[in-house]
Amino acid sequence: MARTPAEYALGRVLAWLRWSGVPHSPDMTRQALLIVEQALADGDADLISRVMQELPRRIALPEIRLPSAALPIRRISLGYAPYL
Amino acid sequence: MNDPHAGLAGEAESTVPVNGAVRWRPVAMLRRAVLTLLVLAQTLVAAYFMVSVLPYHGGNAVEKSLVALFAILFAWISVGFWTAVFGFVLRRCGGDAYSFARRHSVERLANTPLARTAILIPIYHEPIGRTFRGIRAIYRSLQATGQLEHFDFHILSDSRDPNVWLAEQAAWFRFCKELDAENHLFYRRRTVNLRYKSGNVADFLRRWGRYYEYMIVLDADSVMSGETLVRMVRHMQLEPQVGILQTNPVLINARSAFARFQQFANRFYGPLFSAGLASLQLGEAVFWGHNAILRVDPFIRHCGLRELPGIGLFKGPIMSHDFVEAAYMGRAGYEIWMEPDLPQSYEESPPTLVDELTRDRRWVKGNLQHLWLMLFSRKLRLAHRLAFLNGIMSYLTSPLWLAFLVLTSIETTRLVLWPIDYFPSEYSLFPLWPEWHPEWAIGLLGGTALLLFLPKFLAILDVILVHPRRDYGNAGRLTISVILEILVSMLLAPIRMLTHSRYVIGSLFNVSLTWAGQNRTDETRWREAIINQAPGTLIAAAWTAFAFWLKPMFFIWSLPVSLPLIFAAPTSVFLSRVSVGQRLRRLGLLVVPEELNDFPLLDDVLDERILPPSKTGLTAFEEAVIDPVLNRVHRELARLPRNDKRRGRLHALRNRCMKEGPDVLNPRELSLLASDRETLEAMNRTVWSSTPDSCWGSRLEDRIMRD
Repeated sequence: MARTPAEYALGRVLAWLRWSGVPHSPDMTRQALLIVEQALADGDADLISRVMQELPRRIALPEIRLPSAALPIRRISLGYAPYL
Repeated sequence: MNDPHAGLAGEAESTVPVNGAVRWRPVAMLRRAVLTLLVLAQTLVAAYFMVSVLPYHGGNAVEKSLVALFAILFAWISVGFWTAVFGFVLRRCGGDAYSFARRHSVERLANTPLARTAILIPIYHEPIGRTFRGIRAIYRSLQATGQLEHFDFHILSDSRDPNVWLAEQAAWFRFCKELDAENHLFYRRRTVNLRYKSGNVADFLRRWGRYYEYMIVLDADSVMSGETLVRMVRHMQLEPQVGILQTNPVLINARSAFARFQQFANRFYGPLFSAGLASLQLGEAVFWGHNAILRVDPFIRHCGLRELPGIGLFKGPIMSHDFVEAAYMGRAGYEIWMEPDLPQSYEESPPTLVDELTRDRRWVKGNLQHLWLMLFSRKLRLAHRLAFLNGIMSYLTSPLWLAFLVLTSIETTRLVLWPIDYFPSEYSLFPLWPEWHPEWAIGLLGGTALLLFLPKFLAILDVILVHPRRDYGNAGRLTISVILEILVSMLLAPIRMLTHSRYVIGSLFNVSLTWAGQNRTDETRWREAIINQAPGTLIAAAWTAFAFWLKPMFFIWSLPVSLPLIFAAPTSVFLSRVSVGQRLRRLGLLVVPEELNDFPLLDDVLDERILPPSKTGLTAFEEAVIDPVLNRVHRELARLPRNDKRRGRLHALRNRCMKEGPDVLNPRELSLLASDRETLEAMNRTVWSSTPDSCWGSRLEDRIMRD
């Protein structure tokens, strides 16, 4: 049986939260359902898009600590001796 | 807290230090003189016999050429033979008294403070899992020494394919988190890949070289223990006149039959040759490009590689950089040591013959370029000029051997088909009767074979005398392994000879080549093997048919060369098989100490559960667009927004990618998208808001379902 847009929207919200590092909990699921429910109240059109736009405003995601990829650059020139 | 990177190396102009207390130069000169005398004497005797064997005793141009070629080839074999003998004798005498590793006691080394050291891993389209598992193993091993704070790892990527470099970035982030390696594990991708690997390292040095006293350069398949890395730094600290300290990496992790034969030969015969080589080179050794530590300051000041100013092959960037850098370091007054006694330094063999020959294609060109440097570079040490010659001869011997075979065929044809020439010399009063003594020829052949195979038997003796039996299995299996290795090396020698000859001729005519990454996993397919080996097979079949028609005896003489070439394709396919390699291992054949004993360092490298291949069914690009955390990581590593013109092009590409999917874009276009911070963010937002039936929406739903 084909899924409804609301089911897709809920799946997206849960996946987004899980992949962003929010631990799965009944509270988190309740909040996700609430976002979808409120978006549904405004109709089916663009449901997924509206839900995903609303998500960051409603649920704070854990901060991702990104490692530094490189040290600050301190330039130096290489010495090139002549061949001949 | 103090910045751990605050202590800058090499800011002041340092002077070249005087040599250490160990007077190794007279010893090196004496040993080299002895080697030269032995090789020359042996070659002269062999050449004399060769003249005697030839029907006209060198009386015509063909025979003169044959003798000259024979002498060069024999001298080359003789150098290898005596190097192994030197190694054997020194190992039997308890090691080289002038060995670099023997200079300092364990206590002194332990009390030597460390200095900041960068561990460089230049990569280019390498297998991600294996490469990063190796880095992880080295990192953890260093961590176990308690000295990690002195080391930084720099992954220097030259990868062009977005699905490769995005996977590299994802793996780097994952290991940073897992190992808590922030501020010790760095990743940089070059967007402009100038001058191959040496350009990659030079780019690092220009930006970050001032932070470090030393750099340890590794290959993607290198593994070294933390203890060895720490010990190398301490040796360098105690010997300020040393510019490069090279370890002798041994092969590990061989899976295919081909790689297992290479690994066994390297592990079994290698110690003899490396001990001999180190004893001859002493402080004028060479750099092999990886598994070595280099003093950063003199390297920056003296080892920049100018483009070659000659013509053809001798114009443009230097392709094989390592020998040249060692020569420049030597020219600047620093010593270069190769130390076989530094343990736990590993690398891997190409898995198949095709891969080895593909790698050799660029090595041939790189080594031949050294001819120009050998002849024209100013003030290089003689030892390093000879090292260039050694590298050139490693491949030039192949066309010389081929020429020898061609001349032999001409000589035989003349003897069989043409009337006898009783006066080969124009001014001779007396006739010369052509003589043919097969027993002399067999004697000469036997003598040459002795030079080729005696080192192998010395290696057996060395293993029996030095190693505990368990290192290589029981005596019976060891003997079978050696016999198998000899047979396979005889099968491969003509194939390598013909292919290297082709490469040498191609290089001299400056045929362009691509500097591709090395395959370290796949087996050779029949089609690939047949295409690769067809020229050799056809030439060998024609030659052997001609020999059969000409003279049955000549036909028999031709078989050791022609048969391996005729069967080159099946040999190549059979040896590339992992199942064959693993079967040999199960039978206890071609085993090496690391496989029979416990080596925890290698456990992480071999454990494919660490960083397994992705099971999401998505490419690294698709993951970068979809996964919210990875998207953040890639954004952080991407460029900031560009000018309006570029942004317009990016916008058009992004729209196309979002509408039609990533498959419609080429790697360059995908790279452009994945390199731009704003684009990555916008694509991520769009995908998560897309309808499930759109091309990206269906990918996302599929990914969610698999999770």
